[in-house]
Amino acid sequence: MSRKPEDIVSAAVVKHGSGREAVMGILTDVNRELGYIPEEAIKAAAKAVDVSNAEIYSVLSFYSFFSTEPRGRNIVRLCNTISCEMNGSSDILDAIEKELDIKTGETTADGRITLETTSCIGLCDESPAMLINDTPHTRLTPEEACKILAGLE
Amino acid sequence: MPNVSVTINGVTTSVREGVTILDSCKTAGVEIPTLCYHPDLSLAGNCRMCLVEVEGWKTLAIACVTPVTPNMVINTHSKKVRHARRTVLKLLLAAHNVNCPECERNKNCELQELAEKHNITFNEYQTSPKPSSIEEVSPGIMRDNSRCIMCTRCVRTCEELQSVAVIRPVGRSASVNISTFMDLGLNNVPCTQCGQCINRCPTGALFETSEIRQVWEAIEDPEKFVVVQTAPAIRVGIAEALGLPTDRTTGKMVAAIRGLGFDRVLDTDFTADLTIIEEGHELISRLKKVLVDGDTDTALPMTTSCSPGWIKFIEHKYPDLLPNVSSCKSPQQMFGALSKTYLAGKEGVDPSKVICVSIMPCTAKKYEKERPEMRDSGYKDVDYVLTTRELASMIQEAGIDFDNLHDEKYDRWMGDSTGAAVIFGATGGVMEAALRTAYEIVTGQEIPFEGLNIIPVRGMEGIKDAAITMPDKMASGFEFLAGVTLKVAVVHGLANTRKLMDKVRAGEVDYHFIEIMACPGGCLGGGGQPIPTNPTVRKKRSDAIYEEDAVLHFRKSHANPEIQLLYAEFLKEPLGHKSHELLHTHYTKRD
Repeated sequence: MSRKPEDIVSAAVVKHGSGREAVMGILTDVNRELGYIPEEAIKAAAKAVDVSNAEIYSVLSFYSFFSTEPRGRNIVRLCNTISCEMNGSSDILDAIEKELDIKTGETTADGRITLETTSCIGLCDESPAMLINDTPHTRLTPEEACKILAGLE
Repeated sequence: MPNVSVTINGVTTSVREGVTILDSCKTAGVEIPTLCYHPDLSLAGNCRMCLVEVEGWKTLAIACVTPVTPNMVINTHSKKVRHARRTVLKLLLAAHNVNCPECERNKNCELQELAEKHNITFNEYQTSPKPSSIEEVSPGIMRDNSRCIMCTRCVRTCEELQSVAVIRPVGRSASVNISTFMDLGLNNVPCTQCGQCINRCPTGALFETSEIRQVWEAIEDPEKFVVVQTAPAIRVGIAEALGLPTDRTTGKMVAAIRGLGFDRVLDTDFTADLTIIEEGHELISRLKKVLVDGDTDTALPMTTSCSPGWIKFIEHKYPDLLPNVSSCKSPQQMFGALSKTYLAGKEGVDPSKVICVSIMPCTAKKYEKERPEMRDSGYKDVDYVLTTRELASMIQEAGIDFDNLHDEKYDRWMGDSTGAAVIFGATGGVMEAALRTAYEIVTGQEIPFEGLNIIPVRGMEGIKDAAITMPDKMASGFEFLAGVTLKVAVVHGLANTRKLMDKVRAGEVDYHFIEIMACPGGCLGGGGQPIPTNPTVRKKRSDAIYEEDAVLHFRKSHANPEIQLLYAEFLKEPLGHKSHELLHTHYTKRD
């Protein structure tokens, strides 16, 4: 049983404090534990830091690693920036979308995988590359990418 | 700060060290184009319109945020500067919905004006036209982000002037938009509908929810008896909205409105006077309950209730203090309730045929009239609200030559005004009007200020206060106030209001009565007033309001002959049965 969003925020405030500089820490903790940042967590964080709900929402909307929508147990982020693109990332994306039967930004029906694209993740020398949760996978081919995804719980 | 020498376009002048390049150029009479800059707001430096060249600098300087340094050599229109500014403008225009004729701000748009000044006749960056997209609709305010240039003036207004902070940039890079929490829209977040964001938008991304069409239809419907009320601040704003200099133009305004075809032209000033009578008696009654009866349930300080932006603010932010708010409806809503009861009777018309239109300096009034509790006449008390800008638009559409009109007078029954009512339009005005009347009720004598001018509560300071000690000899029935020092405060702008209400909540202040206006400067700086509204403009409008007060025959609300008639024939007494039924209201706690 996971903790309530408000409780995660309370614990994060103990850890990070309640100044404006604590916002990123609080949001990161919520995102890590729940895989997304629900509305209740935004409200709780705004109250704790004494800023408006809109300000917290504005901050989290800037970061693609934060989401306000529930996501899958694993988040796949395929790089779509130029080096990866030149080395075939769009073919990989097509293959993954076909294999998982979802579009970019969507989650599989069983909640196993959310597929996203990301701007450069600094792995151009080993492109094409993707992140699965916090782990990088490099020098991908469509086949290999699909094989890796098949092994995810 | 010592003065330093700077050279601007070859002319050496002396300016205070630390002022910005923009301000030093302004002092030197050199104009620099700006967009994200606004004199009411903090500096953002994000639009890059004000770029200038500084000798020895590798890059251009952002004039609005760069302080001058000793012996700085500035060029404000070198080739490099002109090229950069044109590029900035073209890029802004390329990302803008350039459909000027269909825009509310056509011919009153800072972006359009700069495009004209910089002779942008061709834009190589313009690809496909950006379609209009109304993102948000609320009773008072609409937003079309296709016209937004991301200057964040609205964001800073909402946070810095109003401490409401419901709008923010959302998203990133090319997909960033000004939006609300979870993109819920202004109607579903604690927006006060004050419209200050509209007044600071350089383009047409923000505008009022218009009711011009509905008002024309009502006027043109022969079945309807259309009455119009004009708020105190309109008479000092309408000329400006028509492109004329700021002036008090009450007589011409009445003539113009009558020319539009309204059946009766009446004055919100009349119910401003009525508010003073009702609110003054409410204050005295609260003071008696606390001072004589020792009642601990009666809340003090009492605050005013005329500003609908303030009412929505307290409902969201300080619901625990709602018992402190006067139960009086705003003058607009008192007028509405009386127009379909008292006035309908006087005019001998069926109240169901009466359409009540208000001209307000305010967008929150559009929200206020939609409140479900504002139907005490048995009908919707106020049907339509037009801003000063919308009225100007109707006058222009009708081809009325405003400047050459002869002065006309308001119609009878609800058209009499006093100086006390006129100053409702300026911060401190309600307080001054209330003191002129309340003091006289309880002491039987005029308030001891020269010419009835209560100077301590006037002016643009954010929070003002005053203390008035009652004499030993009081009018019969008010002896309990003998020698009591009445402490009052006046606040305008919701950020200032928040500071004061925090102190009230903490019990740190012991005021008896507080006037609160949501907008900086009071109604004269309201969200429905002409654009631009800035410190210079607010001062001019304020001067015009106090001038009007000084020349009016009656300067105290209780001296208004039509108010006296209203009590004699209809209401009977202040805070009486009829008053409670029609003129008082209650408030709602909101999330």
